Amino acid sequence: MRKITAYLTIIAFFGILAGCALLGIVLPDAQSSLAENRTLTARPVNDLSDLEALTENWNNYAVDQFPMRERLLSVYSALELMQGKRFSRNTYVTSDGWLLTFPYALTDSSLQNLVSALEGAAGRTGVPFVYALLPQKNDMLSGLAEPYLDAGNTLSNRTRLLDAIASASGVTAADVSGDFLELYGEDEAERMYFRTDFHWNALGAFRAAESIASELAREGIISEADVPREDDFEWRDLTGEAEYMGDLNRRFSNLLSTGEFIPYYSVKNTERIEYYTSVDDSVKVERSEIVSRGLGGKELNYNTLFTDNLGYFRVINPDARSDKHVLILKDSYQNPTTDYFTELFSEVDIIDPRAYKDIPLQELVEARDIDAVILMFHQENVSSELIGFLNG
Amino acid sequence: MGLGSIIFLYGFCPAFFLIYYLLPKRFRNAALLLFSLAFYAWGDPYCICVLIASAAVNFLLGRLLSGDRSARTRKCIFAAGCCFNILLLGVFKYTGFIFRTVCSALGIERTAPVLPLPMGISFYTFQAVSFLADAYRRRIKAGPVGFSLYMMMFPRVMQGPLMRYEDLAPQLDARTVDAERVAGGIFRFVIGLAKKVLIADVLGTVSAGLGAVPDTVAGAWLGLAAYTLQLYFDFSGYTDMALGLGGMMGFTFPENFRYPYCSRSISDFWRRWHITLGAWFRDYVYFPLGGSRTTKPKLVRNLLIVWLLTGLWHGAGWTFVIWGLFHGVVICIEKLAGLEKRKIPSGVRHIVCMFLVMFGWVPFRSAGVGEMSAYFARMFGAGAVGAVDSTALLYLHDYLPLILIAAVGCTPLVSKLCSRLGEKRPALAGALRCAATVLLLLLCTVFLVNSTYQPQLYARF
Repeated sequence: MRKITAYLTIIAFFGILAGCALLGIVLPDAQSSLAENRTLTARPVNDLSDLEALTENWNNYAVDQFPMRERLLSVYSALELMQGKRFSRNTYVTSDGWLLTFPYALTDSSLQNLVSALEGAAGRTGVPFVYALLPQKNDMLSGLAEPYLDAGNTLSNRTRLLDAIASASGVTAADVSGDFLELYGEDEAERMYFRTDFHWNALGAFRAAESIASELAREGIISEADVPREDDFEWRDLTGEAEYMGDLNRRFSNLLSTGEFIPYYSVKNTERIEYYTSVDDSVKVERSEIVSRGLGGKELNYNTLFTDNLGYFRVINPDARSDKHVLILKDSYQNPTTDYFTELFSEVDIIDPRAYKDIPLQELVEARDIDAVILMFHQENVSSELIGFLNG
Repeated sequence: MGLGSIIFLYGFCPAFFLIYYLLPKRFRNAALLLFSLAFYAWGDPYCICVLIASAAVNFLLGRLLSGDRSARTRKCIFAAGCCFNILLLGVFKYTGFIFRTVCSALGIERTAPVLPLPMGISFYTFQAVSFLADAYRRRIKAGPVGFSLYMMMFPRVMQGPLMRYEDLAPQLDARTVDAERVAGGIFRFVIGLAKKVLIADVLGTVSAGLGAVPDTVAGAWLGLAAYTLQLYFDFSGYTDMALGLGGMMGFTFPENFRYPYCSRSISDFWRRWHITLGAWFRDYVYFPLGGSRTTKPKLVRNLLIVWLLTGLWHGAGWTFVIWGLFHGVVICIEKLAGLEKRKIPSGVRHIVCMFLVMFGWVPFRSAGVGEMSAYFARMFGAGAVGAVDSTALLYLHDYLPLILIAAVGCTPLVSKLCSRLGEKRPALAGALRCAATVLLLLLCTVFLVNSTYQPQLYARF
């Protein structure tokens, strides 16, 4: 009997080692990891000039291209969740299945760079700048992860960023985060954010857009009567119609519930609205290529439900409430507000500085005859790409 | 390449054992040497020259020592060999430390030269000194392949266990490889892998996540507890892997750990922790200095020299000197006061011993004396932002079960239960061992592809 179990152990051990090694050789290399949202190491080129780098690359390659790695990552996530861990894959997991990210503190130098870039850009372009501080999920819902998540950084980020923007001449701060904290409790906030995504849902984004529009009216950029209200849009509840694949859930191989509350709004009449991905009229695209690409499908995510993170696109709406032409510089928190601003402004140019390097800001403002620049970034995002773009 | 890395497990291991088992016995040592060189070259491609040079010089000196020469000549050869090895270790490991210390003493601001630290240099240098000392005393002889394997064999080259050439030599000539021995080696290897990957690396995220100096009292104690367990599971896991691989090839290497965290005094701790290093210092430093059969002042001197060297062996820094001397002083007190022989409840002995061991790990883990002082201060509330914060609470919530499992794993409880089961139900015990081997291997693979693997802590010494 001892011999039998000994032989079984040997066969199983070497069988697993050799089997996986052979599969690794036979199976084609994977390009990227969905769970980790990164490109996987490709087969190294045997460059003998740097042996340390060569062996390191092969080590990484062996890990990244391990057979069925994505499934093994899923098993790892399942084990983490089964243990009831509150922090895994750099994400807080609450007992109710809410996922929150790690709160980072903004640095003083990044704030100083932002202020100086904003002042410079506002001065050069000569148009009003409105910087909207958008409430990041942690801002409103960090209480869900108490006592394991310290909201200190998140809260101080808001006040520090607000103070910094207020000190920038030629720039108005729209404190949407402050409005949210004042108006909505945690229960209401829970309806405005996706449970398993980094972002808010259409309801949260809509409330934020209203808050920004009110600030624009206070600044005289639009009139109070122009501010669109809820019933100016077509609202739908997509809950149950599609699974929502939250970007934080992806870190856990979508093991958490994909049955999210999915409110959705759109402009009522889209017939006369035009979309372009070029500064001139050369590249006209369909609305369905830009807005809500995944609508009607069985799976939705933040990008397919709203607009994607395109470097540049612009919208023309002859039936808009205001004849103003605005430029929005934004991060992904802006995406669900595109239709709101389409309803409000006759022309909206939208730039994601992470993916746009073509025409400098001042040139663009002059060429497109921009009336105001709106910056929409969540409050933990003082992006170096934005600062670079503002500095021209 | 670490013994617990994916490339070793799923590349090196199957390739090596396939060739090793297929080859006739007389070629196995040569194959083992070639694979050992490849293993080392993969992990440290440039410093393999240092290892080969060290092996070559020590082999030649060993040949000279084993020849028919006058006592004076042999003494000179031995002294030259010791100087060579100390110089080799000194140049690669201590140049920066000595440079910084001298500059600091003279008040000069200069950047210390940075030399690469060859992988396992502390281990293979001690192996070489051990060989020369034994060749000098007993005129032992070694062949080139046998001696090279003694110095470079891949399971042992990075972190030991240290052993005498005389203990390895008979196994190089004749060793048995049968199914039970190989299966036993596999089981031991996988247990070691699990200790490293499933426990040590995970606890490493706790001690690292809480920071070099945690903000709160709870964080400081939790971080220290996690580090204490991490260090044991990391190093003893490596030793299990080395012993397991040895077993799979038919070798028997000496044990390095015997439940050190069950010790009842620091002297007892060092009879259980890194046993082969303790034996090396005992045989080649402590006894030659006069050992314990001498006057009390000389005993204290001998102990402090041994522990100063033990500290320095572990790292080139003042924190390691402090750690070594701390253990030396405690052992002196234990010996002079005869504490081990006094009637003190074993529970009290154990608790005091564990606190002393844990206090010792503070300088051991700290990057500098300042960090060490701050850590000690934080443990007792000085400079802390509070008793507990969200980070400490989070780690406590997420890792307390693992810490408790690890704490139980430090005791012989599981081993005793397995032995008892093996005596009463051998068939069931065998089947469970087989199932555990497969399950733990797969689980370790899941953790390893999740990129949680970290190089062994002891490898940096």
